[in-house]
Amino acid sequence: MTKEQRENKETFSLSALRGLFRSYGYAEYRVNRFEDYELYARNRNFLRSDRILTFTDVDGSLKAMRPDVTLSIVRNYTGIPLWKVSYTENIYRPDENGFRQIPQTGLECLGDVDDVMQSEVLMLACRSLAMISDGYLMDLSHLGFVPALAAEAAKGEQGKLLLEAVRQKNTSLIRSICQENGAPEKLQQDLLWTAQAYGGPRPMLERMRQMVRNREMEEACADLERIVKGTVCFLPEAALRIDLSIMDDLHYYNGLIFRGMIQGLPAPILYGGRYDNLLTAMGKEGKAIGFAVYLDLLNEYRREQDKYDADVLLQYGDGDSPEAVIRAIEALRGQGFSVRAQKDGEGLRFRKKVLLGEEVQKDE
Amino acid sequence: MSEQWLNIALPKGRLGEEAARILEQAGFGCPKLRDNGRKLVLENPENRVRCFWVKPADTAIYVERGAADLGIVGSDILTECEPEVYELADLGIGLCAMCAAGPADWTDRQDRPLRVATKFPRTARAYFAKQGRDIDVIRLSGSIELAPILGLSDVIVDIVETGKTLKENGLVPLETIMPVSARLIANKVSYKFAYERVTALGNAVAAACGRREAG
Repeated sequence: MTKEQRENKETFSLSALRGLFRSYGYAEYRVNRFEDYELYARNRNFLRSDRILTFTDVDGSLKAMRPDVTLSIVRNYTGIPLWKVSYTENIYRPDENGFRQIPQTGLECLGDVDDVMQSEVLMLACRSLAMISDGYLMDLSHLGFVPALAAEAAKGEQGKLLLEAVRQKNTSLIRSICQENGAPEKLQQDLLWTAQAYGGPRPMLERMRQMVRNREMEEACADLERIVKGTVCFLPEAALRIDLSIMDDLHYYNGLIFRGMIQGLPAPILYGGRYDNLLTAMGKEGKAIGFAVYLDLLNEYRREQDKYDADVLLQYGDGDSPEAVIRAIEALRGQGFSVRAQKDGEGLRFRKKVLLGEEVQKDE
Repeated sequence: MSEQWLNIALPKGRLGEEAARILEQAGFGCPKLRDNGRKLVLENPENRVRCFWVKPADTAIYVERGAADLGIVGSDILTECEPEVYELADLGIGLCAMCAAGPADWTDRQDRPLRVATKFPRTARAYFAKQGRDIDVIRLSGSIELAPILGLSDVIVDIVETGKTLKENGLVPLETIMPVSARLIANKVSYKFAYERVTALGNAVAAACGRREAG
């Protein structure tokens, strides 16, 4: 890792991220500490897990520890033409070891969501990851594309299984479902391509346009193309990729869906997309798009990167003058290094050991 | 820039040894895997492949959590654990079946929950739920065949390769739940950051498996 990359990582802070959201007009929003359980009971389809942490409040009402922030925000949407909010909240979700508190930050844009808003949200998602690391990728998909293609090959339970096979990039299962349902060879090849192909927007969109078979696929291509064009206009260096096998949460999302990844982390750290379905289900009019960054994974990333107690161990002896040691500490800090000064460095982890009086090259 | 190392988790035992041979035929092997030493991590600097031996049931966890970029795992484990990984190829090795088995003279009495001993509780629940059969899962970690013999369970759900162990213990396969084979899996983020190498490996492994089948 270069010194510049280290500095990028070290300057990342939540307040800087919130500042970024504010600079594009996203007001900070606090949701209630607890929610009525009923909110989640009525919208189970939109939750990733059926299990919700509940408790009985002093007035006897059943409350829940929030498993999702977006539902709370949508519930409070009053129908103004455009509502742009950002949040930093904890959510509570189960894993194999029980419920976990997960810190999350993100933003939502509700109402008259047009192409500019879609590109702006995607650009902000890219900028959020770029604040954590230069080594990020933003994968895009469109939920109008593969489901419309897969429907030409299989329907009902077989259709669902086919989508799952594409999602897992399971080529042998795609082949066997296509053969079982008598899908033509060209359609099978197209489905295999959607599962396996991965690359920059331009070549991917070109190939996608060639395989359009119906109106939904055509609209999905055009939508994705407009969003990419706008995003690159905002942020030319955006690390965008297309992976059409991303089809998580078909109840929740519609249209654009995206996942952000940081090199060195085992799972995506950012999830986002269009979720008009949720607004409709909650009796609201309008469109919606947003994303969330899972900050617990960010801590994981820092643990991975923070393998050193300091960049430099500055070792000095009993005979050295305190002034000389202090001057050396400040000089090294001035060069951008973190410094740990002490007489004995045993048990410490550092990139370089420097004896008092030695010089360190700036590019180290 | 030099190519990134690929970390591959292989299941200890016969299946892993066969998978190591396929990797070698595909050009992504690690000759040191042929040594019968106790070393768990083996590297081939020429093709920048690092292989490590893990307990078969743990392979998917290593891949899902990113400790390994790729791994070889039985489809029984994938069905049971549903890890968030990509399933890139069916290697066509380690062929066996997930079966419900019981004593030869056993008949299902529908007036009580069926007691099922297994290492695969999720698979067993899903299978019997489809049949509308209420079951009491008894989770065991080994010697599953013992459970019906000692009256601990009515039937078992387990992997059956030749059926010899069942037969020697007075049991017979009652129904086949699903065929099982070894799969090549990839971590979802590694797949993206090392796309060219991972897909090259996946395609080469699939081709090597095809050649073996044809041969």
